[in-house]
Amino acid sequence: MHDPRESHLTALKRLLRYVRGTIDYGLLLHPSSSAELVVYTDADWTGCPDTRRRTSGYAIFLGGNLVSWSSKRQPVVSRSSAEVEYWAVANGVAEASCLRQLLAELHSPLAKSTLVYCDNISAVYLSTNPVQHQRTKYVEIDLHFVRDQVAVGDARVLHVPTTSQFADIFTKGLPSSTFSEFRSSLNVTCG
Amino acid sequence: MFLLTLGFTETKSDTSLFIYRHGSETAYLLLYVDDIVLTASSQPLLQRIIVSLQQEFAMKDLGVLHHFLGVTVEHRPSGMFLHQRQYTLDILERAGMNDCNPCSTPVDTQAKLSADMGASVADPTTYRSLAGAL
Repeated sequence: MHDPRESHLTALKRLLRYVRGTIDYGLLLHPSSSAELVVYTDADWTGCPDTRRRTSGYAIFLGGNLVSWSSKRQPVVSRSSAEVEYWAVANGVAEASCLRQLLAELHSPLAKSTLVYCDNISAVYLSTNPVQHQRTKYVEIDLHFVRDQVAVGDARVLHVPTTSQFADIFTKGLPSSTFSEFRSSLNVTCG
Repeated sequence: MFLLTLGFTETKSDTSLFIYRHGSETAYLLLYVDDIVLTASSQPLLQRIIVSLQQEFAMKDLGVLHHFLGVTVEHRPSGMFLHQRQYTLDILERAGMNDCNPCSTPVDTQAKLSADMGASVADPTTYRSLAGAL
């Protein structure tokens, strides 16, 4: 931001052109009898060429309605793709945990576990497997946090195929057909 | 604080969210500077709280929720539709891009931007203001 370049301005204009084309779009919230939190988390492993830091994102649904989302660069450099994905999972689980706390305060506590979908098998495996691997020691805090949530039954981490990983939209550029499919899955529609 | 004397309690999750709960009666109140969003389990409870608030503060009941923090709320048969059309138009106006060609996705699939490649932009202030507004 302190010294923007022409390539950044081009990207910004591209974004504004997208915004221009979606001026009538918005988020639809519908009444729902389901009280289930579902989280999709994803990380882009290829990331930023300067810092080698990755982008991670999540989308959180409550009873089928999108209630929370995030897209941000991870604060640390990661060493493996599982580590990157795991950081993203921990980030999504932390937000879901805040939402559960909020719902409890609203006197609508959730009975079911939060379902966390991630497209990385290793990250799913790490959420339940108590064996500590040398290469994952850098995600230790995240690992314990997620495992604690899983152990007390507040969260379950499950695998989702990349084709249904809606959080992809928050981490990388997508082809327009996938982009519009994921966008409508987030209930972002033309009014 | 006045809300607490009405029987509201501040939540731990969000310092701007207050909850009223007595027996089966529940009300949620969101307070943001001088904007309030209030919902209650029944119409009489809602009216009672509004009257109490009006006795203490000079405030106007704007009826059903339409705007909050720059987000417009439209009530549809299928639910609520939230959008930022006006805010979006203001940004495009500032960028002079009201009549630009629309694009189907916000970012290129190959886009990997480097912080220090290429020439600096001529007007970094406008760049920062637009990027900040998004």
